Amino acid sequence: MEDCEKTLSTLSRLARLELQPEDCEAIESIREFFSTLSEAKRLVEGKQPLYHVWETESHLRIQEAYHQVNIKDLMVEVEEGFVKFPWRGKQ
Amino acid sequence: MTTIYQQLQTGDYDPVEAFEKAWERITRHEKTVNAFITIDDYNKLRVKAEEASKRIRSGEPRLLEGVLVAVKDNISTSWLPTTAGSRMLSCYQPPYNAYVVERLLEAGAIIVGKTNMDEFAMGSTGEFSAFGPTRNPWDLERVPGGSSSGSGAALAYRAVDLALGSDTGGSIRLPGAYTATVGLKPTYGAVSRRGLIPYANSLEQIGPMARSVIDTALLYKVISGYDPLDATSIKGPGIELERLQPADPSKLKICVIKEVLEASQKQVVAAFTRVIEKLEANGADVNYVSLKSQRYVLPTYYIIAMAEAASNLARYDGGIYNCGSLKMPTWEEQNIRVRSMLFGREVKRRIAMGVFVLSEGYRDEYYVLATRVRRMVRDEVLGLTRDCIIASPTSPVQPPRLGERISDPLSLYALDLATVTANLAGVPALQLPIATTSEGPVGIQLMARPWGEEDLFNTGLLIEEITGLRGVYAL
Amino acid sequence: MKMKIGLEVHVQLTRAGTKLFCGCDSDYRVYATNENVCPVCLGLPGALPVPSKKAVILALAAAMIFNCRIPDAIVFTRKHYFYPDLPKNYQITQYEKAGGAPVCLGGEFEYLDPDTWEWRKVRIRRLNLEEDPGRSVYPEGSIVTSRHVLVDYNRSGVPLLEIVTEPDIPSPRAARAFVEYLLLSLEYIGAVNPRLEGAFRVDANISLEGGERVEIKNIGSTYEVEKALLYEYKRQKLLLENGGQVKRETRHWDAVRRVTKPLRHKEEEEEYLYMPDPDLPPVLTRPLISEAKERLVTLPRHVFEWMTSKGVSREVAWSIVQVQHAAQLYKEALTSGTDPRLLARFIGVDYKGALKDLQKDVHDPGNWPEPAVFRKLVEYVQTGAYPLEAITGIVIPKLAVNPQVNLESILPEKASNVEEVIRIVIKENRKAVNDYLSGRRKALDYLVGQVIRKVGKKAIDPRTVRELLIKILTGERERRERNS
Ligand SMILES: [Zn+2]
Repeated sequence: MEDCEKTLSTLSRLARLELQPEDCEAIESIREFFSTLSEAKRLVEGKQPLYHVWETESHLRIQEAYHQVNIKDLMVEVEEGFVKFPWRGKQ
Repeated sequence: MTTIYQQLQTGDYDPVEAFEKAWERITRHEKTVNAFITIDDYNKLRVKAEEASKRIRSGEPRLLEGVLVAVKDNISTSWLPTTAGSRMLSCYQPPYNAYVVERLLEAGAIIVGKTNMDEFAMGSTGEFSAFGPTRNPWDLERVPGGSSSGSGAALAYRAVDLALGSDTGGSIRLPGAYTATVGLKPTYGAVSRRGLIPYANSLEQIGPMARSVIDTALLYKVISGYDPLDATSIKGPGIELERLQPADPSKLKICVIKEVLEASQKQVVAAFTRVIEKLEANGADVNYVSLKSQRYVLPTYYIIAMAEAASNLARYDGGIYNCGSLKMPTWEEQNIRVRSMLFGREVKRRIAMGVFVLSEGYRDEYYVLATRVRRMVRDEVLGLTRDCIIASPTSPVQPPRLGERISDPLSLYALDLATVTANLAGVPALQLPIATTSEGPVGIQLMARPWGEEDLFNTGLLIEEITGLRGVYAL
Repeated sequence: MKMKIGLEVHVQLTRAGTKLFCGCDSDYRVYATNENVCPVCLGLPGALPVPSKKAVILALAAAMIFNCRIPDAIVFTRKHYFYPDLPKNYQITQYEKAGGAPVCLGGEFEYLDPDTWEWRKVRIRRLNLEEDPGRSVYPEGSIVTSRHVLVDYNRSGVPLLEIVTEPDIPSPRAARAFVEYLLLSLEYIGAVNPRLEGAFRVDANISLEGGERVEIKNIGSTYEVEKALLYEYKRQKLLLENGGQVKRETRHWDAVRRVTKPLRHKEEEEEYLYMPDPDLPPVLTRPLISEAKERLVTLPRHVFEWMTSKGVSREVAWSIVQVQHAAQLYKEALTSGTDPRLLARFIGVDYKGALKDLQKDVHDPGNWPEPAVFRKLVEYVQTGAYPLEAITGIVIPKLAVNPQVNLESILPEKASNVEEVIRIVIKENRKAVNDYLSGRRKALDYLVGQVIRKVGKKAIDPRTVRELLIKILTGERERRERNS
């Protein structure tokens, strides 16, 4: 369980998410479920990863793509044309 | 039961009449079923239906003139909000249309609304929507299947004629199985993903859903095609509707996956076997085969899907997509706060696990291994489908009751046992109903070689003849 | 003390036309804030990246300059970190170790050191083609203190070439020469205009014998590359000589205070969760190689060596090569009868110098005349029609003011015409003539001025006028003396 809490805090930091201790059980069981894949290791010896199912080549773009977007149409705070986000806060 | 395709062919389809009837059903059932997240304005839709009727009268109808279509809410529409079933996007209206939406509009379809779904398409029952679960019109205590839950349910109660879903690991086919509708997961690359809010890009496709095989084919014809603005889009052979006809059973070779059958419920196996035996009796060559990689497909699929999901969902950081409501003093706090508040529990879990399988020290053990097993799965499926239609029940069980599967993630993932294989292998897969029982409908899944959509539709037409389940609906 | 310097240069492909994965403009500087953006470069859900053919070709051409091993396919990867200027919170780049494949798997590059005229060798570790993030502004202080951050996404998605060298560079000055020659080469293949604001950034690492490697981030000009490294060299040297230790760290170059400062330590190692981008299948390089090769026809080294082989001095040749348009002009103007050295001098020294005197941009082709004009000027001197001084002293400065002017109209008067004018001036200014003849030398200046005024706008060398005046007035004096 202590192990899980450590994992939880690492994942929480990397994913920028608050995870609850009660997620531990689910996360542990999913992790265990994923680990069953190690049985398949011997079957895929020498096999390369498959990231794009057809192993085709990408198109290349020559013409224009999409229309422009007016930033004000998005749900953002705009200041003199810039999109404004909180950064360091009050210090 | 006449299909939409037939009605369009014979000129019997009257958009105004169809719309008014559908609107009446929506008014009556939508509150209970909850198939839609957004429904367009009655008056606007009525005007569109009238225009379509006019066009038909003037003899210039387009392929889907006035046909009522529901679009899953993870497919971008510039005039309707597109939420992907998440609170995170509850204020988001895209500034552009998805490729498939452009195709629908060009074909004269009327988009009635945006359908409910599991948040970011992560779910197999439709219960993980931030806008409340969708109920199964065949049995309101049961789930309609997910994640294209609303599209399946809307078809089942005839709120629309056709619907678009998206299928990452069964998200079109499970709702099809549970709502007795037809759905296709196309060959990877056949339908542009441009404008589809991604869950797992390398696995998913937008696909057609309908109440008959021919209507599914009709919608597939409209939405499929090469898109230069999707780098994974491929020029396929296309499909000619006139050429489709029930397959000749004596020329049909079927391969039934033993492992899926063994893992399925009795009633499901019984319904499935009845259909297979009839096919065999009519001369089909039926083989019971073992899919060596079947036992690995679920972890392989979920590892890849969650890794891609964690990456895709990183952009929801409380900057552009939080309705401006949650404000925190610092950027990092705002990220954490917004993501923790506006993502649902299952989405958070999948992001966390996706980050886990990609993180240093685990990437090779989990993510890279899964992509290597994926190669094995693909190659095995490609080998089998070279001369065989792979058949199995679409879901190992009949529609679960609401709440039955939400607490244990593994029992939820188990519902995808038969469906994820097609996504891992990139091949097309068709779901169609084979039984409606007191426990809910049962569906069959057919998988073919890449670009074997025509074979699937023809086999589907044959099975439709055997079961008589064409154009069925609930309520 | 011996040192080793390695560089990481980020160069925007400002001339790619579009951004790397969408149709927005690659040269974003002319747009109002956030007006060069689309769903793709804003990372809106469902928007898909499609690689720009031109950006890939330019990156491949760059890989060829560096004599790189080029893989059969390049593969884009996602690099994840949360930052407001990164709209997807991942950057599409190419990371070899996570299934990616960069444009270059290692190469070698020779750059000219103009201090010694030696070609120095640097091993290239890799070349990445990636997206530039948006531009952040910190309105209430710095990156460490500001309460808010303001982001302009116009730059988001601009193709960026990351060039990483091995630590083969021997001195801060050589580092500067490397970056300058690198940028010049990339300019010659049509990839970048390095003079655009923010078109490149440099990270440098330096280690001295007996010390660890220190990285300096965020250097914005070639001049500062030298300054920052020199500062860091002195700092480390002093530390080591006093028995101190140089620890491995990352420092920041403060261009205002001209010092390097330590960056805050990060508690954890960065974790970027690399993965191949599932939206982007591999880009095959073979079908693009020949098109990329076409861009390598003229490289600075070709031009430089060709010029020096014609007898042009290295200094003048280098001066021309540094301005791509000047090199182009030189090549076009040089015909079989033209003196290559004289032509080089006119272009690389006199005309370029005149433009600089006028504070005009030497890189703007609009500030240069047609090649035929230079050819004519050389011809005038070669045939003796005009003295060299008339061309360099009068014609070229006038030409630099208005390079499109009709050459005939700015040529100095031939001597015969001037003599006539001088005789008229003498007739009209008897008093000044008498003053001069009676010994007041200042009166000559007045007469010179009068002649020049008469000639009007037509150019004339004052020295020639003065000489002629003296000659004629001397004759006048002798005539008077004889008469009296
Ligand atoms: Zn753009």
